[in-house]
Amino acid sequence: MRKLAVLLTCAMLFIAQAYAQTNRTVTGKVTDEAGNPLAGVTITAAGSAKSTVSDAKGNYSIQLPEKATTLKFSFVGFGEVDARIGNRTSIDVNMVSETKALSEVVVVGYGVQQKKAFTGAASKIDTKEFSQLVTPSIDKQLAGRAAGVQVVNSGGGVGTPARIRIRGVNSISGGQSPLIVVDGVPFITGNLAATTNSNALGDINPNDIENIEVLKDGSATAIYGSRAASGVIMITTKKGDRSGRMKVNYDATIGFSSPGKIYELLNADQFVTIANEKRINNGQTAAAFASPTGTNTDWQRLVYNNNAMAVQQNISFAGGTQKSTYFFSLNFADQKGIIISNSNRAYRLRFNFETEVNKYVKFGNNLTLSKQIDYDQNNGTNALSGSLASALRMLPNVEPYNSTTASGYNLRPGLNQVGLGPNLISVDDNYTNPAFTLNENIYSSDKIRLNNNTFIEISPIKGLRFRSAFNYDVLNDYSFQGLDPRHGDGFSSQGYAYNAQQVFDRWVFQNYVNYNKSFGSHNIYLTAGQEAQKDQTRFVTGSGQQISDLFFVKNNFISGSAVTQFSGGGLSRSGFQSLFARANYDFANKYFFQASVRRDGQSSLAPETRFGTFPGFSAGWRISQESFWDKSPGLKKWLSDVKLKASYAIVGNQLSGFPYLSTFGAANYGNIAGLAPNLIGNRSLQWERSKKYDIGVDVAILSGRFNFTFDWFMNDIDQLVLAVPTPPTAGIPGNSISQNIGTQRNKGIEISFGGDVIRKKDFNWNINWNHTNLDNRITSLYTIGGTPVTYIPGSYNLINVGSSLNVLYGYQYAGVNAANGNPMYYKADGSLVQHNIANGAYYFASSKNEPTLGAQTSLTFNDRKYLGLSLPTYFGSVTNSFRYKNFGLEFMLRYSGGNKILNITRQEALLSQNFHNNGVEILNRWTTVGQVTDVPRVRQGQGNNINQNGLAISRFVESGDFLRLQNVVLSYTFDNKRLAEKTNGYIKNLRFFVQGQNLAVWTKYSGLDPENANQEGLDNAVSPQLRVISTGVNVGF
Amino acid sequence: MSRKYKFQTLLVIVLLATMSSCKKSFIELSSPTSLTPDQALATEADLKVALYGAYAGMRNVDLFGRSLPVMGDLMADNAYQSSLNTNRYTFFNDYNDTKGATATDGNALGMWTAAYAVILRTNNIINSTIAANATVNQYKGEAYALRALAYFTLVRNFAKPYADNPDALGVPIVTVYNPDLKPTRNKVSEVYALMIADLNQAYTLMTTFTNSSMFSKYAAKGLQAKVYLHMGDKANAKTAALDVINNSGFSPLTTANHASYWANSVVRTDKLETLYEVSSDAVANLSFDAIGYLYSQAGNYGDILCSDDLYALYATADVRKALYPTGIRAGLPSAFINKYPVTTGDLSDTKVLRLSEMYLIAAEASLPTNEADALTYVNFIASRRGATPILSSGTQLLEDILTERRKELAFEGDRFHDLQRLKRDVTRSANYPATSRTVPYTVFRRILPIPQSEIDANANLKSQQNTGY
Repeated sequence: MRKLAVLLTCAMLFIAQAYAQTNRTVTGKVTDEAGNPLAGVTITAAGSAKSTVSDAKGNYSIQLPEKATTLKFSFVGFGEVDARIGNRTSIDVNMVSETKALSEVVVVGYGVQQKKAFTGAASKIDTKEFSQLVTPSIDKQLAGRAAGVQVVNSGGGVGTPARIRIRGVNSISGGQSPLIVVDGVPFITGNLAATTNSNALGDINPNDIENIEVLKDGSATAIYGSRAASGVIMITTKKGDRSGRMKVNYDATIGFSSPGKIYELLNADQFVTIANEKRINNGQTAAAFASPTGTNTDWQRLVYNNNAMAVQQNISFAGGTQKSTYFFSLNFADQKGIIISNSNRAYRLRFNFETEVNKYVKFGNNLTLSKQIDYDQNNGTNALSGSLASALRMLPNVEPYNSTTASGYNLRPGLNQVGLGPNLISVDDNYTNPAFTLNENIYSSDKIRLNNNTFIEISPIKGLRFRSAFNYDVLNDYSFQGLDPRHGDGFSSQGYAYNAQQVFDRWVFQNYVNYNKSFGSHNIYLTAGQEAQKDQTRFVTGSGQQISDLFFVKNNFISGSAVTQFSGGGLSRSGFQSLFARANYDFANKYFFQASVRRDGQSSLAPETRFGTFPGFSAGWRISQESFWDKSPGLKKWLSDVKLKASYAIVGNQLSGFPYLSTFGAANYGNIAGLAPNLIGNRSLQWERSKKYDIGVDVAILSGRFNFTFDWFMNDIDQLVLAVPTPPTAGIPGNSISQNIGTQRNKGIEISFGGDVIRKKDFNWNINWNHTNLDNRITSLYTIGGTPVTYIPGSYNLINVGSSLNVLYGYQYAGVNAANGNPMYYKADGSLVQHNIANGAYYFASSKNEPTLGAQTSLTFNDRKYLGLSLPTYFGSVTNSFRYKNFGLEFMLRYSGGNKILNITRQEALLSQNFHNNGVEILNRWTTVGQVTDVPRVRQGQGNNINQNGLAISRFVESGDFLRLQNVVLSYTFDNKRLAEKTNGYIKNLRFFVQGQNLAVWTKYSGLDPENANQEGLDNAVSPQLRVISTGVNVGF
Repeated sequence: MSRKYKFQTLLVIVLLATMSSCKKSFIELSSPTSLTPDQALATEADLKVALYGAYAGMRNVDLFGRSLPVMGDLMADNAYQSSLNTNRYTFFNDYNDTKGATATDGNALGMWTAAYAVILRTNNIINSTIAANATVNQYKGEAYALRALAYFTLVRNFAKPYADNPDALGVPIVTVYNPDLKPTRNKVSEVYALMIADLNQAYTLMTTFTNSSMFSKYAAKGLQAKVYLHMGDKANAKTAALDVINNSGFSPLTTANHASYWANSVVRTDKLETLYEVSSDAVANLSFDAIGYLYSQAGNYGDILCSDDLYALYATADVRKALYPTGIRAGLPSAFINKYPVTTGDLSDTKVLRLSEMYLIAAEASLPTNEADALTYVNFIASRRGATPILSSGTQLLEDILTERRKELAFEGDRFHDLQRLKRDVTRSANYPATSRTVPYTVFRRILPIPQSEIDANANLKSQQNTGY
């Protein structure tokens, strides 16, 4: 018995031992990236059928077969994790959700690629950094976020889309903005309302964006073929995860905007002095007088809102089960502009859903619903009722209001003029009272957007995925403009009410397969498919003049309320049809090759030319994977990953309308419909073509603690569409026929560097720097009669072969003749001439103190010189992020320069020679013989002679270089564990923040902001940039 | 690969193939808002809309929409630019070396371009192969008349007057559409010959009168009278003018209906006075660029005023004086121009040919041989305006007729061209800048420059620019 007991014990021990050897048990816990337990994770012992599932607390236990060496953790929506078992009996695993894992992949057209295998040039923009900033749309916050991507917000209008240029301006007459793709589908973007600025990209809630990828070089963009010349921006929205737990996030922000800078204008006394001096110098009598009541109106104050409120509330619900995920969000945002009539209000809903029907089939739907309401004003830079144009010129000794008039405003009865005040005459040119026009005239648009994308994915065999997606996008804009009959733009029409309704329609149908396969060290990834797109835009307008009652100009145009009623309408259509394919191959994660091709057919081109083929190629070499790299511990340690890459592609820039057709358009006569030729087409027109070259290197330093990227690029562009002049005798509309004829080139370098400078438990300092140098050059234009045309002149610019686009071109200012106050210039031969203010004629002068007029001469086109580039030649940004315990501080400095700006505001408004108010610069005007100054003598009505209005002169050309403190974010994040304890786990995370946007600008530019200049380098009465201070909270439940 | 997978793969391929074989017609769209030439000029009805399109071309701001009636008086002695102005047409007020038109002048380019655009539109109608019938003939007749008017505009503004030298450089004659054509300038006489021929065609082809905004048989004849007068062909000018006076059925203006006639902005169907005018209505108009805005003082530009010497020519009883109300502008007493009074709704039209001018042509063309006729015709007008009857003879009679013409047709764009065809100096009142109060006939700027854009695009014209530019 004892023996037996011993035997049994031995046997049991043996068995137990054997069991332990062959059937070890491993236990552990699976959590997500935030430390939350993950239920339902499948844990498989590799190479066996043994598997288990984690429980509600994320715990698992698995018995291992003998030869198991790795455990595979898989959970849909999360990246797979392979864990080596070794001798461990407890293995805790942290899984990263696939959306999170986006940082390891590049979102390319019709698929994603592993970042390490990507051989094109793309920049990932992490929107978490700025999704809380006060902004009506994401584009307005992209400036400085990526190398090679130039984003300019001109002025402070909240509804105005940003100007985005990727790797330079890639067209002269065609589209220059990138293609914007949201969740794989080309998205309708642009400034689309009929009566206001309105940004269609604002229909995407910035909080819903998970990731933005900017595709820049040829190989990355070539899959978009004929629409890729200006780059592609891929926006990916958020998804739920499969943790089984719903995550609720609530964000609220409140902010206040004020003008970044305003002009310094003359006060009432100074105005009276200058205005009368102008008149007396012109042989007139004084007309301006100080107000007996001491009126000193600051007209800018009436236009600007110094505490323009912005509020934003956002709530999202995200989650899912093993089979399905969802993301649902609601957003309300209301942002007032700094011009009192300007505002944007948005209501946005998103519902992203996907589910696995079975092992092979996945179905999903992304729905966006959005309503945006914009209010705006007359922003015309030369308009008499332009908000800034009028405010800068209004007379400061005149009151804006007059309680004794019926309207309450200071207006001259029966005339479209501001009241005289103490002056003998009203403001020149009939500039209107901005207090009236901004308060009484209405510019509004109300837009509703529905974008729905339904897709199905079939994965019949491992590695193969077929995706079919149908997207429908409709944007309805209902715009209204009401112009009050009492004053301003509505005066001459005796009241004006206008409504427009526009409907933008687009559907996109995509079908494609992705296939990846690895055998040995060979990995291939194939994509091929088809895409079709159809666009239709329809609009109808109705309006009336001579409105019967004020009531009818305030809300909507009403039938019968107007004596004269008008209606109008229009329609445009376009279609796209494409086939595309892409093949990636790599050997041992070391050598990479990609080839892609797209064939596009486009309705805007003639049948014989409408199909085009756009190929792209790239190759990469991860030199750090070579054995010699491994053998050098120094190299391996410091440069842990180095990839060299090069790419080449031919892509296109699409044309709009039907430029190949000769067409007749409406030419009505006497209430009867007439037709007349409106376009002479060119059947041989093709896409503009961009050959894109890129050579670059990606480096990870110290195991990825720092990253460095360098790219050299060149876009060699030809077939630019230019309007080639025809003799006007041919009677051709516009006296030109479009041809694919011009060429230009953009080349430059991009540098990105970033990483953790200090990485401690309680303190982290991360720095990110990106920099771009850019050189744009026109290389040829067209020929006429065999003679090459080397420049196309504009008023202020030249499109000139050998220069960058729109180089500023004008007269060289020589200062003021101290003897008589005349402005002086240099002729091309260097001789000095003075512009006689009295008669507008030019005379030679022997010196800058020459009392007598020499021989009469002239300034001609040939006396003009290059005055500077209007496009910046370099730009970039530096972002520093600090984290100390629970505090975070981030600030971004952004810079740009190399360009010049013609300050037309200064030329035409601040130094106006009419009966207008002026800027303080005019106080330096020449008054006495011998006085040395830069500001000529003043004289009523002689603006052309004194300031050369309408032409560029070096006197008003200023440097566009600047450094901007773009944003500062200070935040406090509560400790998750303590928060959970205190709130019984109900509040998962909590963060408070204070933010400042555009807090400071360092520049020599004297205008409101160097970024107010347009692409021609001109700044004319553009509203100030917003300076925003905001605070808010994020709560997670 | 298992059999099942094979099937599934096949399924995907089939799916893909089906979906990508989208119909080709998908991208074969045509322009939904404008018509192609084969659509636009295919039928008789198409000719009609094309004709309206040609008429609409005449309303261009640099043709009868504004520039022609403005410059025709501003370059002469009737209209001047106020010192308070919006800088429109300054060059034609001043025309000296510091402020005068150059080859790149925008108004000259606009006029040239718009006139040739009308010529293209009329050529399309005239050259149409649609079978002739009365309606088609009417359309073609109107197109011939419009083409003649376009050439008349060009040759009067861009070339020396016929009276100076018929062999001088006129303007390029284009009668077919060809974008590759690089024409040279034809002789002045050749352009006049084309106009006479076109107007003969127009007179023959047309049978109906629609309204005052469309050419009719006698409007074409009236234009021909004016063309003959410019050629110095007095006999033909008188014959043509009398044909209109006697046979057209148009009734003349009188002292009684004068004011209402000018206040009216609606197209006429009653055959009162207007042979042809360029219509602007409430919908199809130039808005702020319409001529009325340039003259109106009620919150509009009001740049251009009536010269003091012209104003002084109107006797107190002259009904025409009422068209020039007085007031203050830029601190100076001024006579305003109110021939285009309607600036909202149905805007004032631009008169191109009036029955009154036919009497004035007949009067001038009667001289020097038939003074009795001249007196009859000129006093037919004078007596219907409340003006003092003209009793003079000899050269004074010619002067009086020209003065009556100046008074009657003021601000309709004719005065300057009268002085051109008579090769007279322009002598202006003190309203004008001191440096340009006398503009001798020889001043080169009295003829507009061939636009630089034309010369740039058409090398054949390089050596044919007008003298001085």
